[in-house]
Parts: sequence; structure tokens; C-alpha cells
Amino acid sequence: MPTEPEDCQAYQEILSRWGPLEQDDVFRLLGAVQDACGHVPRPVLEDVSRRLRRPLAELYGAATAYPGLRTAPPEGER
Amino acid sequence: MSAAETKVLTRRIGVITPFDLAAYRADGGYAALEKALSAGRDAVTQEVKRSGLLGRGGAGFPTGLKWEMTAREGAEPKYLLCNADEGELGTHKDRLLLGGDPCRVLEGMTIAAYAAGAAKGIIYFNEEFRALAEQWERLIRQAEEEGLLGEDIMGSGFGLTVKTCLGRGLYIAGEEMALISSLEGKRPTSRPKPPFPTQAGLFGLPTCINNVETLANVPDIVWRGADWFLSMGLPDDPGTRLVSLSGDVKEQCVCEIAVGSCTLAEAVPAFAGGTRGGRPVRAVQPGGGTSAFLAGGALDTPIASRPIAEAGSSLGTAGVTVYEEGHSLVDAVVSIMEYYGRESCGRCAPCRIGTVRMLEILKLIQAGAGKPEHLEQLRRIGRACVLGSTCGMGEAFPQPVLSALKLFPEEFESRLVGASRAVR
Repeated sequence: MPTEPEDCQAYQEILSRWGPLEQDDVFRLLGAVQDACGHVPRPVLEDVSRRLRRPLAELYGAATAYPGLRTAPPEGER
Repeated sequence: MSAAETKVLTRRIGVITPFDLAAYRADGGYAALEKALSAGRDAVTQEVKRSGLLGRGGAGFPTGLKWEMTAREGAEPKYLLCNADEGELGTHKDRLLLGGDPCRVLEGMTIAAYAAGAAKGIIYFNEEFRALAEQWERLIRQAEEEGLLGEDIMGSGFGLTVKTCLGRGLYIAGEEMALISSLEGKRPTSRPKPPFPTQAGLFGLPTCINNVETLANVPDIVWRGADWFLSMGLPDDPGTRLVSLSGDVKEQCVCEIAVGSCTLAEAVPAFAGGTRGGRPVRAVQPGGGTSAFLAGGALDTPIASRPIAEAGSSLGTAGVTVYEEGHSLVDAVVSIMEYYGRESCGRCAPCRIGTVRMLEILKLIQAGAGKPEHLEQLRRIGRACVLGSTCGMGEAFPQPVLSALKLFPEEFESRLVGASRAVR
């Protein structure tokens, strides 16, 4: 599992494709990372938190609220 | 009354290639946007207000008024959100429009943003519309290239960016306040109103939220005028409605009728091929999974908001679920409550606790272990949820249970402990 946001290659690719992040991109971004990586790694949440000055807890709340988002790979892929 | 379709919103579906701006423009598309941009914001808003268009997402708020309320707020930028998170049980109409005539929805969204003074647009799709969302992404890029989105649309000076966003499988995110918190990147929950989204919506900015079908109505109203729109449907509820028919029917379908032009009972044979087993209709839910059952003489109610409200239910999203004779309504309300119990966002106690307790009692009754006092408990909890919940879901989810208890008490009583099962 990646430990630094630089390790999440798919995340970096999304960032460079989208250009500067806006506040209304947070949910779309979590979804795009989920689709690319199969989950939303904590380092990604930490990086988004830093970039957009948003509490990590709030982003964690979002990332764990939906059936279609997960913060860890499925059992068996860990 | 005879049941026949009035094809306005659906007239291009299956006729022209969807997601093809050239085909859409060749069929008169984007003439309305051009007209709107030259007429000016106030003229467009006044025309849509005069048309009497009511929101098609369930609440039926006047669309033109919502634009006006957004436009008169001082804060910038303003948002125009298209709610495409269609998740109400038995409702499939927005999906039809998003896939069948997407350019109409996009044009409607652009006109709405212009009228509301919004420079930012977001369309929030149900997770199940993933393939559609990808096609929409390409459509938006193409519209930008053709000067129909982006800066200086059609040389008018008006600019609008549109982003797409795919939901992640949460029913409550379709509720407007929860949709806002979802887009803010927070855990999606409802919150009390006021302030309304038009005053303080996404990130506290003025936000106009319109349903897909509402926006799909806009280009024709602008192009043909309010009088044309008022010539269809009822004076206080004009135009057409997309009615989804499902449940115990031969063919699930979405049909478009002039508001109030046929009754619930007429629609089933006319559009859905009749009931699945050929038996008479026992009951319907006219407005999605949270609407109250109607039965007996109430099935002759015209499909329009006010008559259906007067009959004791709500037209909501016009997702009509049909239950034929022999279909147990105890079983039906158990599966309905299982759905809403899963989907309660948990923010307010009546809904969070009420969904669980009502389902527990209903399952006891379903299993033949219910007692007479359980029926009164269901009514009391249901009424408390209606009165005490924060959002529309909490107010609405007890309705199927409360109405089934009222219309078919003998079915519930027949399943209590020690009751004869003769009555079903």
C-alpha cells in the first residue's frame, strides 16, 4: 500500500490531468481515485487535506460514508 | 378520459442520435439558448415563471421563482446543480432523458444557469449511470469546443463551466441538502432549512438545484413561449409529466402524458400492458417508494400533483409502482422499509431510530409473531417520524406503512399471533 501521495501514481495522473484543484472537486476526486486504485488511500486524503486546507477528519468522513468508496483495498488484496 | 401520450420531452428519443450536437442543432436544438441570450436574463425568468413550470424532482417548487431567488442573492459565484441522482424506487425517467436526449438537458441547464446568474454548473449522476456520465463528459467537452459552454457562450458574454460528478451509491445524496454536503466533500447528510440553497448552498454560495426533467422542459418553454406550455396539462400544474410504471405490470415503461390527462387505473393497461398476472390492481404507490398507497376508488385519480395529494398520497417523482391482487402489502412494506432503513443518513433521531424499529415490528408481523399492540406502535412511530424528521425522506418513509395500515388493516390483523390466515 502506498505511504506517500507520490506513490499513488494514478492520483498524480488525475491531478495533472485536472489542473488546479477547486473545493468543489473533492468528491469527484475521491471517486476518480477510487476508480483508478480500487480504494482511496489515506496518503491521498492527507494530500487533499493539505492542498485544499480541509480537515482530514471531514475528508475521512466523506470517504467512509458511501457504499461506493473505501479507504482500504478489499480483503484478500491487502 | 382516454390515455394517450403527449410527446414533448421524449419526442426526439429514438429519433435523433443522442450525444450528437450536430444532429440536435439540425433539429432545432440551441435555438432556445440563442433566443434566451438575446432576450436577457429577466425576460427568460419571467417567461418561465409565467409558464407555471413546477419542479419535477418531487417537491414541485416553481422553477422560475427558484431562478429569481438565486439571481437576486449578492454572493458570487453562483452554482446551478443538475440533480441526476435519480434513486427513488420505481422512478426511471431522468435516466431516459439523460441517455435519450442529453443535449436537451444540457441546453436547459445552460439557460437555467443564465437565468439564475450561475457561472458554475455541476451535474450529479446516480452511481448506476456511470456509462452515461462518461458520455456526458465527452458531450460537455464538445459543447465547449463549439462555444455552447465555457467563456462567452454564443458571443453573449455569458460564461458557464459544467463539471460532471458520479454519485457513490447513497440514496440520501439525492436530497438537495445532502447533495450539497456530498459535493462539499463532507459526509452527506440533510440539514434543516432555512437557509435555503438559493441563499446559502454549496460552500455557502447561492445555489439553484434543478431536476433533470425540470431542465429538459426549459428549452421548449423558452422557444415556444409560456402560452404553449400552459395549453397542456392543468392550469395550476401545466405541461407534461414523465410517468414511470413498474411493479406488477407486464412491461415496465416510462410514458409522457399531459398532466392530469389520464388516471392511475387507465395508465396501467394503456402504457404498461396491464398487470403482470392479469389480476385487478390492488393498490399503487403513485410517487416513488415513500409515497402512500392508493387503492379502490382513489385509483381513478388523474395523474397530477394536487388530485393525488387530495386523494391522500403524493405524486413526487411520478414513479408509479403497481401492486396487483394477491400481492401481500405486508411483504411490500417490509421490503420498502428495508431499503429506507439502509439509506437513512442517521443525522436525526426519528428517521435513524424509526426506520429500524418499524422494520423490526413489521418483520415480527410478517413472521406471524406480531401482536395487536404492534399495529398501534407502528402508527405512533410513523407519525413521530413524519413530524420530527429534518428532511423529506424522514417525513415520507413512514407513509407506505401508515397508508397500508389504514387501507388494508385486515391483512395486518390476519398475520398477527393466533389470527386466522383466511383473510389475505
